[in-house]
Formats: sequence, structure tokens, C-alpha cells
Amino acid sequence: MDAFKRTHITSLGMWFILITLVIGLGAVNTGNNLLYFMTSMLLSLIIASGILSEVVLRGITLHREHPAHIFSKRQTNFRWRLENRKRWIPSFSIWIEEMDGDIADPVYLHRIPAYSSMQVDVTYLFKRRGVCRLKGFLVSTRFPFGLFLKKRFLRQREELLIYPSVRPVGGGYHRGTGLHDGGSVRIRGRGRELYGLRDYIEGEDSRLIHWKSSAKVSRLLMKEHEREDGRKVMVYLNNSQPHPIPPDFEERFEYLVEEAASIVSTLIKKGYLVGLCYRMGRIPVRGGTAHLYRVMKALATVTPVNVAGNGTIWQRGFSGGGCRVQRIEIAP
Amino acid sequence: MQGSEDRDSPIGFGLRKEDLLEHRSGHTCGNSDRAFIIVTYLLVPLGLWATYLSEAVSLSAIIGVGVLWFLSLLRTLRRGRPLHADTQDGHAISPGFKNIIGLIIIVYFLIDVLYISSSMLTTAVRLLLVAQVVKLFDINNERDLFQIVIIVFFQFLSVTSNTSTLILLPLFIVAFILTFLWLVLHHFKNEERDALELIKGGDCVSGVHRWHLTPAFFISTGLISLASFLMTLLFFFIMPRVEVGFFQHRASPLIRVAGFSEEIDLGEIGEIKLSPSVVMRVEFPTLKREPSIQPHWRGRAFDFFDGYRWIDTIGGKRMLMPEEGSFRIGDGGIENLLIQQIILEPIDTSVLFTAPNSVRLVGDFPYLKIDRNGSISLPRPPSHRLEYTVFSRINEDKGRKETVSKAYLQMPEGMEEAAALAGRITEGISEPEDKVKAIGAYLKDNFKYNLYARWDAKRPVQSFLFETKEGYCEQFATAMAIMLRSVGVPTRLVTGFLSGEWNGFGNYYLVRQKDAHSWVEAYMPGRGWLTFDPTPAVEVPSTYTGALLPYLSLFLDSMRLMWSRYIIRYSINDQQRVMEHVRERTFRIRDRSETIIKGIKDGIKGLRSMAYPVFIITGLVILLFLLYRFGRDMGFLHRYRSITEGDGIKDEAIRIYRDMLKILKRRGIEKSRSMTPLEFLCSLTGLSQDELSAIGLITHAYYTMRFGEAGSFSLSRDDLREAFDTIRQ
Repeated sequence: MDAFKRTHITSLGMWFILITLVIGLGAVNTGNNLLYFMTSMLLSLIIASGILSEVVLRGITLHREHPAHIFSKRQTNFRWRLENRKRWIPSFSIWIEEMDGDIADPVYLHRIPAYSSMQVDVTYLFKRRGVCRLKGFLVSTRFPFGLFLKKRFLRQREELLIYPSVRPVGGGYHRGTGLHDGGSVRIRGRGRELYGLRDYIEGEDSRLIHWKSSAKVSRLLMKEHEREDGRKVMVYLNNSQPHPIPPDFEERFEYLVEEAASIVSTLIKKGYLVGLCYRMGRIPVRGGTAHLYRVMKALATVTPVNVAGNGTIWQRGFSGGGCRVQRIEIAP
Repeated sequence: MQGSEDRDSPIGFGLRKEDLLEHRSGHTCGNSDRAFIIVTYLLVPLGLWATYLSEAVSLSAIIGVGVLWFLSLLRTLRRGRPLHADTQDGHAISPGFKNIIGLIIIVYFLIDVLYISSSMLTTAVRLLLVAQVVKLFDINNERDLFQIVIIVFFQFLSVTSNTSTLILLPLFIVAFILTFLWLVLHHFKNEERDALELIKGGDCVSGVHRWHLTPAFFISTGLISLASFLMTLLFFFIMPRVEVGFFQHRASPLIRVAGFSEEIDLGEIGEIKLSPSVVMRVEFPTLKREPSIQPHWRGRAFDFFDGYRWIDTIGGKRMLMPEEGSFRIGDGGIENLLIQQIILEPIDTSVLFTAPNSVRLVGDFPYLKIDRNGSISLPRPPSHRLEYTVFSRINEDKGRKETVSKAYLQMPEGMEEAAALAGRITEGISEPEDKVKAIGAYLKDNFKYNLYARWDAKRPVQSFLFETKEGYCEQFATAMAIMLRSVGVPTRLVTGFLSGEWNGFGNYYLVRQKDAHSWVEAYMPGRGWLTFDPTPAVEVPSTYTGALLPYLSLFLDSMRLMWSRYIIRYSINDQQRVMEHVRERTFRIRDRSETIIKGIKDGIKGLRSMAYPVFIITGLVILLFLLYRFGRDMGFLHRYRSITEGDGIKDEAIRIYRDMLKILKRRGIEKSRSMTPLEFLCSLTGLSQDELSAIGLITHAYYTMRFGEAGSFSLSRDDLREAFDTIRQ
């Protein structure tokens, strides 16, 4: 972590310096030593201000801790670990902010005790998905009198992958897929999930009898299973770039990505096995939280692709690869 | 970290969301608000004092404003709500009424500046006072407090042009410290406000909360401000004095003295002998102690006496121009001289006072005048305090040949009786000096000192010699001069001051008006003019009463002298002197260090046989030091507050527990040896819930680390430190 400093004079400081100069001029003009004395007092306040603000900023180190998964347009709590490495001198009146100031509000701290550490929880809000490069922190102070604003840049480079925003999904995603608003398409067949119970027909495999339920109703009931490929969904995100590019294409594209993310998130949470297919990339159909974040990572970085480019994967994805998979196509 | 937005744990200094909500509602009035108000109000009396010193306003007016200040303070402190940055509502005085007051004030001050005081400065000072009073009863926001401080600042500014009294020094120091503190508090208030506005603007719950000011804050701020004041002194002394002023002349009130004009009536000196006003201070830079001889400070000498008054008739004033920075007053070398550094207050005479037999005078004067009687004077009476150095001969100027004017033997009419008396006293004495001694002894033995003596105004000398036989210095000196002249000894009457009161604190003579004196100078062939004082020694009643007061007075006077010397009269010459002194010191240190280095080299040559052991020991010491530094940097030697994460939490938990016990012991809560940590925890009473929780946490950590498995410990090092900080605070 390296640092650089910058000093600015505040408006109060400008006035203060101006008054000092005027009184100093008066002292020189009149030779009045008491005016010299007052000038000296004002000068010493200016110098003391410079020294103290320098001391205050010295020895401050800062580290940020953040969640593993960050979504855009959602407030996320980060934790800043501050250390004052000065053995005896506390730091006062410190403002801390990210160099990219629009992602988190600045934090003001009255005092950081000498030779100690503290932590501050800060709410971040990333407006866009994608890779966010954080440069470091801007630590500043106007201590002790507000005459000067002294800034110190604490470099702490970090790259964060911001997932697209996920919103509640309505019924629109099922168009042309056979999926219902509230749940999945359930087809009886071979699988592991229980589909339902029915009466036993003689000659059937007795291993499929649901003994517990049969005991309750005093007749034999057979277990029926759900066909697994009915819970598989491939989300097709058409990230092709049209020609000519419409003026609001970027906004619309971001909306599509967010829609894809929302659908994937909703489906995986409902137990579906979901894959993602887009130009330049394909993620196979899987389930679970780890897979969700895998898809989210892909969606965080997906960009519009020129249609003239390689669309092989997209084509292959659409062909279905012989596998019975529900399709959701998301296109402009 | 996911989901941490729901956390409601202490943030930073312990801000919780409810604290923030409390702030937003604006119902809190932290002690920083109160401190800010009090410090602002403390500055006001200082400004009033400064106003009083500027002599533009009477004491009764200042006391009146002081009472109003107190009432305003009570009013402001009792207000229920905190002061905001710039709230316009709720002012005690309506804007319309304020305008009317403003108009009346402007009209009054126009009249004041044109007809009453006729001084812009005085009017400005009065205007400031009125503005201050109005503002004191119209305090509604921080801006009003800011304006009050600005008024105080200008009150201090105004005092600088009117007075230079010593009381300004403590006034400046206190004002500086309070202003320092005020600026810090003002800064904190501004920052706090900005931070709160930021939070109001967004939903960010960041580490902002009201900071409770502790005594430690005030003490440390006070100490830092004192250090800054030392910096003020440094700046003051090194700031270049460029004398390019257009309005540099600054008249000080003159001290009225009598007896130093070209003629004096008998009795003039007596008029000023009751005044304790300080006329001058005399230092002896080469002695730094009271000299063995107590010189008289010679002012003016007179040759002609008409029976009622003394007149300087010889005159013949010639102009003295500086030669190589000094004025050549008399003949002779500059060896074995008494050097006097004289600080003369502004008095209404142009005479410069010196010890007798002066040969050189150094001072910042364009030219001087000297007459044949040896009286030195300025072209005009000084308008401000003067400082000059005089070199005077201590010994007589033996072998000196001088033609003495017959004027020094002049006798007024009607002095036959006095001459006859002198003849009787000196009968059979031939040597002039013996004659002087005989007449002097006669006067001392047979006449009484009486400052209130009355005499016949038509024939004062005869009345003194033959009727009242009492008087003061003028009568004694006149009688002696006339009697000596009647027996053929040339004499002249000299007016000036006695040596004065020795101030042991500052090593100088303090000469007051009551030390005004007159004596006789008689010419001794071959020895020149010698001083003879026929006035009998008399116990002068002290100016002070009480045992400590004289010492205190002398101490204060020496402070006054230092204030005047080093602050008020500090000049470019002083700066040069300081620089030369520093230069000399530097050379001296360099010479001394060279001598020491040479000595060390010689010693090393002698101890060459011991070089290897010394080398090894030094190397070991350096190695140990480097190891220590390395250990400290790597965190091995850090105390519990070590901020590097890593192993060793077990040791840290134990250390924190022990430190906690020490802190509790300091607070009067001691754990007896027979108690287990848990028993001790259960025995604690009178502590806050937070403290008890913190102690419980540390005790739990101690138990776990001491007797359990470190791996099973769920608390972090930061949790422990936070708990410890809670107890420590």
C-alpha cells in the first residue's frame, strides 16, 4: 500500500491567510510589534494546522473486506479495517472514501485511538455489473481548524466481479417453454423425484409400492417418479449485437442480462437444473448455489457480440444436443 | 460478509442506528455543543479587557457589558435545543428592530467620530462593543458565535495600536489558547454537521456519532496550543523587521517631569518627588549585578543663579553627529568604563540622562545636542520609549586641564550672609576639595531633610540657611553651590535622578519620579568636575505596603522590562544581535566539539589496544538493537494492541485479562488472590452493562485460552480488543 498526499486550502483557510497577510502588512507598515505579535500568532496557527493535519494522516492504514458475491444495484456491506500505527498519537477527524466515490458514501471518524485498530461497516452500491476495479482509499482531514484539506491516497487495488442485478421474476419467462408461473412442468417418467402415488396394478414391481401410504389407506399404492429432464432448463441469452446499433441498445442489453440472471436465480432456487447459453459461451445444465454463482460470473462479464462472429456454440445450444431440455430464450 | 447489512452491531465508536435516529431528530445536545458555547463566551471577557486597555471605553461601560455577557451566557446555556449552523428563525431581535438599532448606531458613531472622540480608532472600538452587546442577545446559531469571536479578534487588534502594557502578555496567551480550542471545536462541529447531512442525504449508516469530549481532550489541546504559542514567539523573533512604514509614528502618553528645562525655579523638583511613576530603567550589561558605586543620573546642569531660579546661560549647544554608530560625548578611551543601558520612558523633556563623566553614547538618534555644562539632549522630546547605551568613566580624569568659565563663580545679589557663613566654615582650608567637604559636612550635620519645608519665596537661600534650616535636595544643592562659589570654588547645579531602586529579578535600577534629585558639581583643578551631594540621606517612605508587595512589584516590573525590551521594542538591531549571538554560539560549539573530537582521537590512540573489545561490544549492541527492531516490526514484541493478525491469540487473551485486572484495580476494584476469575466476575457491582459484558467476554476468553482448546474459541482478536477498550474508556 503506497500513498501520496495533496493539500488544498479551504475557504476558511483563504480568509485566515488573507487576514494574516493584512495584519502582517499593517505590522510592516507601522512597525508596531504588537501587530507583529498577532501576525506571529496567526502564522503559528497556520503552521500548527499543517503539522497536526500531517500527523493525523500519518500511520493510517486501511483494508477492505467484502462479501464473496456482490450484485449490482443492491446495497452490500463492506467492512473497513482501519489501523492507526502511531504509537502515542491518535488521529482525529478523518474522512475516508473510496477513490471511486460514487460506490460508497464517505465515512467520518472523530478519533482513531493511538496504536489500535477499528472497523467500520460501509454500504456499497454498485450501479453496474462487470469487473469493478477499486484503486484505493482517499483519506482526508481538515483537522484541526478547517484551514486546509489534506488528502492522502492509500492505494489498495482490488478487482471485484459485480453480478447483474437480480429482481423478482414474473410470468414472462415461460413463454414458449411450457413452464408455468408458479412451478415446473412435471412429467411422469424415470427419475429420482417423487411424482405421485397411484393404485397398484397386479404384476407391477413390488419394490415401487409405497408401504407407508398403503398402510394408511389399507390398499396398495405405487410410487410414480418424475422425469428428470422436465426439470432441466437452458436459458438462451441472445447477446448478438444488431446492425445498426439502436440508440438504447446498451440499456436494453443490460435489462436482458438482468432478466437472464433473475430467471436463472429463481429457477435454481426452485430446484431446477439450469444452464446458460450465449454467443461465445455455454454453461451446462446444473443445479445448486455454486452453479448459480458460476452462471452469475458468466452473466457479469457477458458482452454483446457481433453476429458475424463465431456463433457455433449458440447454434449447438439451440440444437439442443439431443437432450430434452426446456428452453428459455431471452432476446431483444 | 454476505448479509451483513442486517447487522446492528456497534460501528466505529459505537454508533448504533438508534443513535443516528436520535441525531436526525435533533434532540441531542452533546457536551461539544456546550463546550463550544462556553469557550466562545470565555473569549468575550478577554475582548472586553482588551477594549478597556484601549482606553476608548470607560470601566463602568465595560462592567455593564460584563453583566450583560453573564446574562447572555445563562440564556444561551439554558436553551433547550442545540445551536444549528445557520438557522434564521427564532432570533431574539426582529430584523426590523435590528435595522432601526443599526441606523441609530451609525448616526451616533458619525457624531462620535466627528465631534465627540474625533478618533476613528476610538469610534471603531466603541462600535465593536455595541455590536458585541447586540450579538450577545441575538445568539441563535453557530454563525452568531462565529461573529462574536470575530468581534473579539478585532477588539484585540484595536488594542495593539493603543497600548503596550504588560497585561497584554497574559491576555494574549489566554486568548491564544482559547482561540485554538475554539477553532478545534468549531472544526469538529462543522465536520460533524457535514457527516450528519451526508447520512440524511443517503441511507449510509457510517461511523458518525457525537463525540463526548473528555478532560484529556481539553488538556492535550491546551498543551498543543501552548506549544504553538512557543512557535508564535519563534516567529515573532525571526520575522524580518522591515521598517518601511508610512504611519510609523506612534505617540505614547508623556510623563510630565519638571526640573529639566533650561531654567528651573527652586522647588520644582520637590513637586515631582511624590510621584512613583517609572521614568527609566538602567541595566549594566557587563556587570549583571548592582554596581559598587551608586551613580547619579545626570540630566541638566545650570551655571547661573539669580536668587530664585537656576538658568543655563553658558549654553553653546553644539550638534553631535554619530561616529561609527556612537556619539562622542567626552574625551578619553573606552577602557574601564561603566556601561549603562538606559530605557527612558517618554517624558516631556528632551534631556538624556547618563552617569557623570560620560564619554560615549550609542543610540538610534539622528543627532544629539550637548552644551558646555555637559547636558545631552535630543532635538525634541521623545514621543515613545527610548533605549540607549552610555559609556561613563568610573575613575576621575586625573591630569585634566580645562579652562573654567567665570560664570561658575557667579553670585546673585544679597548672598553676603551665605558667603560669610561659607568663609567661617572653610576658614583655614586652602584645598578646594576640603572646602567642598567642609561645607557639605556642615549642611548634612546642621540641616534637616524635609520635602514639605516652607521658605521665604523672596530670599529662598537665606531663608533655608538661617531660618528654616530644613529643605530638600534643591535647597541643599543651591546653598552648597553658592557657598562654594563664595569661597572661590567653581560650581554648577545639576538636576537628574538618584540611582533608584535595584531590581534583583531583572538586574537593573528602577528609577522613578520620586528619585528626582539635584546636586552640585564642583571643579577640582587637575581632576575636572566632581559630583558632591550635600543632601543628607533620608529614609524615603516606601511606595508599597505589605511584605510581599515590593517583591511582587519588582518582579512585575522586570517582566514589564522584558516585555518592553523583547516584544514592544524588539527591532531589526535586536534581530542582528540575536543572529550574531547564534553565530558566536555556533562557532563556540564547533570549537568545543573539535576540541572534544581531538581529545577522543588522542584517547583512542592511547587505547588502541582496546579497539577490538570495544568494536565487538558496539557490534553486539547494534545487533541487539536491530533484532529488537526486527522483532517489533514483525509483531513478536507487540503488546496486546498489536494490530497484525496471526497466531498467539492465547497469549493475547491472557495478557488482555491481566491488563483488564490492572485497569480495574486502578478504579478500586481489585481481585483477591483467592478468587477465581469467574468468582471475581460474579462479585462485580456498580459497573455498567456494557462494561460487565466486556469483562465477561474477556473472562470467557481467558478461561477458554487458559484451560480449554484454542481452536474452539469463537471470538476474534478484534472482539477482545473492543471489549478491552470498553473497559478502558
